[in-house]
Amino acid sequence: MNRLDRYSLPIVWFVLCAATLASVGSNDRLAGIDSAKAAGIVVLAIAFGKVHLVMSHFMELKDAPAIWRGIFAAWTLLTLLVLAGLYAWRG
Amino acid sequence: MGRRLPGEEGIWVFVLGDLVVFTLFFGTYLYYRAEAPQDYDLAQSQLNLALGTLNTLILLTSSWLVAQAVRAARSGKPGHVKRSLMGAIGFGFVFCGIKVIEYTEKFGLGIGVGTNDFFMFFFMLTGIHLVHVVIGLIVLVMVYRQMSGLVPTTSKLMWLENGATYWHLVDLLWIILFALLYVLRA
Repeated sequence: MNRLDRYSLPIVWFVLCAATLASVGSNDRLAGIDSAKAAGIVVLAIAFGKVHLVMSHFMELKDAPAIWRGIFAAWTLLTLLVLAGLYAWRG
Repeated sequence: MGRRLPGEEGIWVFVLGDLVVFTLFFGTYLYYRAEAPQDYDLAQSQLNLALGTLNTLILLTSSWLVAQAVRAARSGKPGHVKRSLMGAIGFGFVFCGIKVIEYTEKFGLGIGVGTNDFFMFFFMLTGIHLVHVVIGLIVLVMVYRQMSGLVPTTSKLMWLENGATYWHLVDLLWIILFALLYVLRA
């Protein structure tokens, strides 16, 4: 295990926590100055960014065979697009 | 080291199936939300955002500890594995405790599943997720009990990896639920 590997988990954990707080904060700020929809899209994008980090580093998909990485990356991207689409264009 | 999937393939198929089911839940929620966004926003303002955020941080920490336990097991550090798992289980119980506080707070205000559509979704989705948390905790406790002092065998490591994969699924489902139910507006 190299040095970077050793510290990768706490770094990912820190980024995930920071992203959580940023998404709560950004929603408040963006909702005030910009359209609430834009704020919502940012919130969804941050959430799925976090999902990707959990899958890659905690679930170790980054070291998995390409087929499995592809399936889960496709799910992440497709779900984000579908949910963002439902949120932004409906209603 | 060649590329490999942690745990058994079966657990990954299960994870994928569960993700697809939850995708339908998420989509259904946003579909109905779009019909009356103002009503949903009003109902959402009655949620305790601080407790929701805290629970997200708690589950992320628990997930990190489980990932650390898996690495420690592979490096042959059973003491480290047990400590990390114990921490992860502890945070899992704290998550459940906070959820109970939240539900009790809502019931105290006369808010329940039948109050409005938002709270119907809120209690259904967080309730189904809480069942996942409880199952995950049972699995983690079983895995913890298997890690008795000795260097983990291959089959014990497999169990640990399966349990860890499931626990991370619980974490990532919550990440999306938190964004949809607590943070997303309008």
